[in-house]
Amino acid sequence: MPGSTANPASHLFDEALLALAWSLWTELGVAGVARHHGTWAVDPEALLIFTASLAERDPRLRDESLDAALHLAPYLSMGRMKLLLAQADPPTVDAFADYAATFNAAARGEARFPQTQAAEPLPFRRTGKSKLGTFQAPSQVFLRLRALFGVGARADALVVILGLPHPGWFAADLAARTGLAKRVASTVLQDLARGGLLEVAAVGNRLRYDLLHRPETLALTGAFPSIQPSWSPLFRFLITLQALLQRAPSRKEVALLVDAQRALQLFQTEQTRCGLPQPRLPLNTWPEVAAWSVALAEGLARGQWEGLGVG
Amino acid sequence: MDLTHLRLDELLHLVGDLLTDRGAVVEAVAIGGGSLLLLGLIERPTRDLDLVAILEQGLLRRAEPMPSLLRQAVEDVARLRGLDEHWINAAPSSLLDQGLPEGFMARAQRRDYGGLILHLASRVDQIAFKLYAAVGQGPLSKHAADLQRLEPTAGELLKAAAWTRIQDPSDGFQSVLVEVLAHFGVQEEGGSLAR
Repeated sequence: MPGSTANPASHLFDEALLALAWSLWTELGVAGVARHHGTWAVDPEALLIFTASLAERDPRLRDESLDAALHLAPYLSMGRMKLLLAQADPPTVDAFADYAATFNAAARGEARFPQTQAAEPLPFRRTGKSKLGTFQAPSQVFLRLRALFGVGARADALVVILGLPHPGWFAADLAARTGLAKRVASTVLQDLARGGLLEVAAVGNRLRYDLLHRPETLALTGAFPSIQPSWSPLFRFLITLQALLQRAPSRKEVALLVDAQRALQLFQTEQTRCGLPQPRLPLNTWPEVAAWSVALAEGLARGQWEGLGVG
Repeated sequence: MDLTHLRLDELLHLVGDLLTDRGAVVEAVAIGGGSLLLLGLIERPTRDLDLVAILEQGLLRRAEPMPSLLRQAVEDVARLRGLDEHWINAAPSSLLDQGLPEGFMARAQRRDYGGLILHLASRVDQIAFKLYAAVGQGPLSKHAADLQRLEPTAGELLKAAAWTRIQDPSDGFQSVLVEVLAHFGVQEEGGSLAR
């Protein structure tokens, strides 16, 4: 591949991101060969946006993911996709515009991805290799709960509330973890409490919601994955690192370190908000950062949560 | 964190590299302990580098407000290297209001750090700035100690004193100035320091 010897870290990182995307799509029904995320909750909208940003490097991934997305369209949240897109960087939004135009042309009005800018559909023909089965796999928990409870904030909130050991939920915590607006998260919590699934208690001037009937509810909803990353911030972090690695040969080392530090701090803030582990990135030299980034991406592609550097 | 000559030089290169990466060039005028360190005129570590002016299109303007790209680069390097975010600052900007010593820029030493170009005040001009600061903070201050290290002659001190009187023509300043000069063995003669 051109550039692979000139910029080996960038090449390895790209390969790892593609492997990660393929493995995650395989969990959602794409005919892939490597599957390393059976115990990870796969976030379909975050994965779609991430895949769009990689599509130029792997047209087959683009086509297979679009094929799968056409199958999964009834279980995708276009509103959530729009929210996540609003947090994406401009190159990702640009890439998604082409991807969305291609999807929308192929869907012929049956479903529509949000398009924030004009774009022409790319050449695309359905391969028909993706299979839409039942959503029993733990990794398909988002799709399963949407199939059970409808596509919306309540199903996504339940994925988080049922899937994460948590002493009790405040609206702000749930909003951070799900990507929902705080007002929407608050409404969902109230509804679930009225439905008898949560118990509400006042803590200072805030309301905390505790899950009741967990075993009974899990018996209804089926198996949950043991790992629930907050995918959208993680993908954004990976895309930033990817851009830095690509441009590294033409940039000053200090500028790369500063940008890496900024990206890391943003990611750490998101991880903290979600109660997830924080990676420790060495920021002494760029080669160290590059090596750490490649190890992170390769670990994630292999389904290793340790790839975040937290053991 | 105290900065040695080598450390300060390395950090300035980082700032210059950041400015280059962002497509900017900033030219500034530095005085004080940091610039003395860079010139090799003192060896004591310093906490910061003081900018008095920014050179834009051949004209000097106050260093405050610092150009946003420079300020951002300084803060970025501070965060990256664990420094105080004001390790380069524009604290002495007001010295420009009454004018720098005549011939200042011709005597200044230019140092290039990529996108950052510094004009370091010459030894003679540093004597004027240090004398002014020593009057403000007393003969036992670090400024007086720096002034001592510059080994000024009586003539250089008197010339410097004349410039400080432009900065502060008050009687109070005059009386302390006389004391500081006396501390350096220079006496007022025939009211030559008088307004």
